[in-house]
Amino acid sequence: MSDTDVLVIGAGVAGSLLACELQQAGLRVHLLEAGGAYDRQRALRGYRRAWDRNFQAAWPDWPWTIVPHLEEPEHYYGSQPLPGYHPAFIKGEGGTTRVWTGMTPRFLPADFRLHSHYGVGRDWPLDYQQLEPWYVQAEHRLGVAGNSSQDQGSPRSAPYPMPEIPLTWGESWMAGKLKKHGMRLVSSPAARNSRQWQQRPPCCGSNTCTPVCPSGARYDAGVDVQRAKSLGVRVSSQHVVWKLEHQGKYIVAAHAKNPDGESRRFTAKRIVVACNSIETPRLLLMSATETYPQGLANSSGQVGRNLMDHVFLFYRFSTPEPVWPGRGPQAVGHFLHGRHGAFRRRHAAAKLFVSNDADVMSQTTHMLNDPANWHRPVERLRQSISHSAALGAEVETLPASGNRLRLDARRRDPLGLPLPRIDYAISEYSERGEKHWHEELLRIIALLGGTPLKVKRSLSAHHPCGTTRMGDSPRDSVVNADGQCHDHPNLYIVGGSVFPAIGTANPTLTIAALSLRLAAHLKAVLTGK
Amino acid sequence: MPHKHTPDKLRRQLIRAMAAAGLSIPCYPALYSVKAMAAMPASKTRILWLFQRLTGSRRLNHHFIKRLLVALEHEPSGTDHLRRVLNKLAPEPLDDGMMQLPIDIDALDDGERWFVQHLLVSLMTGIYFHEQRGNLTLSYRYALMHDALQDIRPVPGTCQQSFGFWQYPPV
Repeated sequence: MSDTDVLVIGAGVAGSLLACELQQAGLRVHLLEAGGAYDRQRALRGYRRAWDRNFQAAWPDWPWTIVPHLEEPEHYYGSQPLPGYHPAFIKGEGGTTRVWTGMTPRFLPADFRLHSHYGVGRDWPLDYQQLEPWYVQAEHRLGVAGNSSQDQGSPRSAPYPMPEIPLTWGESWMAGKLKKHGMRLVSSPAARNSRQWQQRPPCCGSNTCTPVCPSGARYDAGVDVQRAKSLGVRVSSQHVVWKLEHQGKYIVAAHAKNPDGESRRFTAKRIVVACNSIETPRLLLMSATETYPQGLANSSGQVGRNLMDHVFLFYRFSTPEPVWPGRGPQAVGHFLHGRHGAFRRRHAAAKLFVSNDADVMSQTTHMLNDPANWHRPVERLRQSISHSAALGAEVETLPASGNRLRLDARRRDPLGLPLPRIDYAISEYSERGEKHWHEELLRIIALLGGTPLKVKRSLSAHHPCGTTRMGDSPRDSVVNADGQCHDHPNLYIVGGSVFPAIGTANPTLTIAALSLRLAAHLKAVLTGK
Repeated sequence: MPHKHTPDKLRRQLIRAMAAAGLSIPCYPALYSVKAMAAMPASKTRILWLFQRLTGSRRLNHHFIKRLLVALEHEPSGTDHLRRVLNKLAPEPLDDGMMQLPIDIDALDDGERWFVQHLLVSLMTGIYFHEQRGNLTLSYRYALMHDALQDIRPVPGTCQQSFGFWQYPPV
């Protein structure tokens, strides 16, 4: 019999929070992570050296495993029809929260009842009220700053732990201009300190939230991995779990390879897979046996299916007066309209937001591509950046069976494991939403007296969700509302992969809330408390 | 022909040039680098004058410039390109009145245009782009793209200001 109560696979936000909670309850927890440990100062040096300062720029690759890179996603995902769907992430202690902007809006109550309210998508087996206490806990654990007295559509039973992050000066200028048109631009809740919180300083506005916060003011799950270690959790980084082993319907072990390719077997009474929406289904599919030829937890055939994300629209535009972007956090404000309304019967909702990333590097190189800009480029750059701003939209998508991840037997990672391939297309519902929000952003730009300069569209906002969805029925879902696999009573899944519908909120806070909820469930099951 | 100077002569020239260009005296010691200048096709003063003309900035950090010159020196045609561009854009005697004029793009051939853009990208971004050898970071903090905004926001990735400064307009 194993001496480990719970083996958690994946040291991102879901896995590290869960590990801490269970260890604190007196359980013996072992946390496995494919990547290695990160160092913030080293990451900052990496950022400064990078030519393309994207959100993966600061962090090292681990030679024994690979992740989808923004520049060369085909290396991981293989070729896809254009424009391709390429959600990027990183591996390592803390996972992709190492590189997130820290936005933590809650889901709206209607996001959990999309089908009941609007006849589209799918309902969650949970409702908002059931998750609300866990949102409160998650906000406390991550350290969320927000305006507790402002109704953003998600009713609260407790205030935010910290006061809101103030809008930038440019956002206040926009908010003032747009107020008379009935639009409200407000500060988003964010896991970014507005005062000292849990030994982390308040935000200093360095404007590099992605890829690396220089001070640690923005939460990342590296905090909870360190906490897990101090609580006594066994943390084994550099272990790539490649197979789950079953006896009958019970999962008895996880097999993990070290960087040399040597495999070790880890046993536990309960196993939790917390590798989010790409690597979690990949592991379940790689664990296929004669008994489970379609992969573990897959009697419904839903593992890898229902992949969702937010379609990402981005508009940089000139402003008639200086608004000085790039001062403060990379993202602060979002609009209150767009996320909810009767329109959701016809088209997708969206979260509309302001980007405060001045993107000086690419603006500079872009400017210098034109010799007409070579005279006094410093002044020219100052003028163009100060008179520019950016808006974006993250448009919801619906779960669709055909949007799926499978294993590609022809392509292998450095340890010889099959890489995923993806089929992905957005529905007409989301296309109508995309068109609507595209026009809305152009309207806002016009109301501000601006002129669009650059438009960017991507099928991914790097929020993959849905590939092991939760539901009440084993026939069409992978896990139940607690995250327990229908097919394997001691196997659990936590992360965005269990979302039945994605709504418009950035997923991390909901992932954290589900993780804390699962922790309570496992504590009750394993300790009787 | 490369200019040949004794250290003392170069020192005097540099002090005069810096005074004329409004550069601060602390810049001087690193500019005085005979080794870095040995392979250069012109005096440091003239090269610095070219960089100032190209960028419109007189706030060029000396360590940054030194690293750029070393990088150019290691390019197969780096010093040759520099000589050609100097001859067209920084002809002697140097005329400060010319500093205010746009450079004559039409006077440059394709190779010279490429080189001017390469210089500008290096000076503005602080990164010497090199596809084959890999990029070289010349300077992060003193890259002119940060310098362009240094009075309104901290250099990205550094913590020089207190919480909430961004809600107020720059002074």
